[in-house]
Amino acid sequence: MEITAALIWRTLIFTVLTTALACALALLAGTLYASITRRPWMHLSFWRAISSIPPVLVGLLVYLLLSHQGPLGFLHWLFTPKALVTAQFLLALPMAISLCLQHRINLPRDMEEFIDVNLPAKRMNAMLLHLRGGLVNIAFLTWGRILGEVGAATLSGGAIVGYTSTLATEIMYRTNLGQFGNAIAMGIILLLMSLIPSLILEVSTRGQR
Amino acid sequence: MVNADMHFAVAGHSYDLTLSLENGLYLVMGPNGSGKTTFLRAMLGLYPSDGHITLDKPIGYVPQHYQPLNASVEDNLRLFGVKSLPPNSPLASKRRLNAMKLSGGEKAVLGLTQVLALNPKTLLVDEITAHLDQPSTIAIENMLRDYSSQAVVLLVTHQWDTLLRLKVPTILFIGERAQLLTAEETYDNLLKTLK
Repeated sequence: MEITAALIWRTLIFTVLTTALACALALLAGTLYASITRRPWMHLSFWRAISSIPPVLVGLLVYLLLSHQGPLGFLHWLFTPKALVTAQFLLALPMAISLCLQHRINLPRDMEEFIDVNLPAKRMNAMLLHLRGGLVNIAFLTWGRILGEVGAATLSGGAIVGYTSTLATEIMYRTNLGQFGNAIAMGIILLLMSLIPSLILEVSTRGQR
Repeated sequence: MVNADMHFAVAGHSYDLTLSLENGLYLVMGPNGSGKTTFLRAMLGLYPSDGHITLDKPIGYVPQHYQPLNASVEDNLRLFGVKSLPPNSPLASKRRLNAMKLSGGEKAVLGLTQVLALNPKTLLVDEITAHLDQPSTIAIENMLRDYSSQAVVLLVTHQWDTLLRLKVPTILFIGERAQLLTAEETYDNLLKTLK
């Protein structure tokens, strides 16, 4: 398929929407998990280790689950945006959980006890309020993990141009076709997208300092 | 009411303490590392102890290193169901500010305001005036004294001037002993430690 401005815009918007949705779901699960757990340090090592799982393995897992012979094949999600978001969610989840747990551990023991004694019934609300303070940072780091990912996106979504292709898979596709100019142009867009969160973080933390 | 017949050990010290406290303000004093904080934590069941402890509920607790949550003053207050503040509260004009940016004295007032909103029958406060200037310290002392008509309030402090201002019964930790003394007896015992 020839590249057009409309296709670039579509791919850009699709990439932002799918990664943002996967990231939001992972953050929701991560904050709830970190709020509920009583001994976060006991869970952190496990989730930190899982965070470094190769993305292509997550893609393979989703592929096997959603393929026609797989246990979830009846959903007919393979090579659709739903499969792509599922893979991105599974990729983002361990990182979101480990970062939320890390932020939770930063709460001093005295404050854990302050909440336990004074607010036993609203403990989860208090933990959510504490986690909210670090959520922007965690969201951007988690988003960065899935934004430029190719392996899991290709295996789960199929990287179908104009349908399930993301900026990252599109760069690979255009490179394979020898359309280096297009690949570089998309690469620059992806680079800018990955830099914007860092810039926002920098500006916001400077404000706090 | 607070009733306790307890035994606990900390940092090489071992204490047996029998208490029966009516509503009112009490200080907890003693040298650094003598076990004052551990005593409060043992009362709350956060540190192992033997014997029995009965505290009227609800219980309020402001720990030694109280820090507000990293959110606005408003959010921190709302978490504890605080809807309105007295007009003379230093927090009244700072409700939208991030609570981490409050001064030490304002943070102490925030912690107390949060806990007092729970209307505790037993209130344990651990050295929140330790790093405050005199006016802030006196403001906190007054808040606690006013509230102590309706609850047992224990304030851990190592500031002698607090004892001299409030002149209230004190649980004194010295050597291997912890005992409830009058303000005068406490002062005399503290003076002996200087010799």
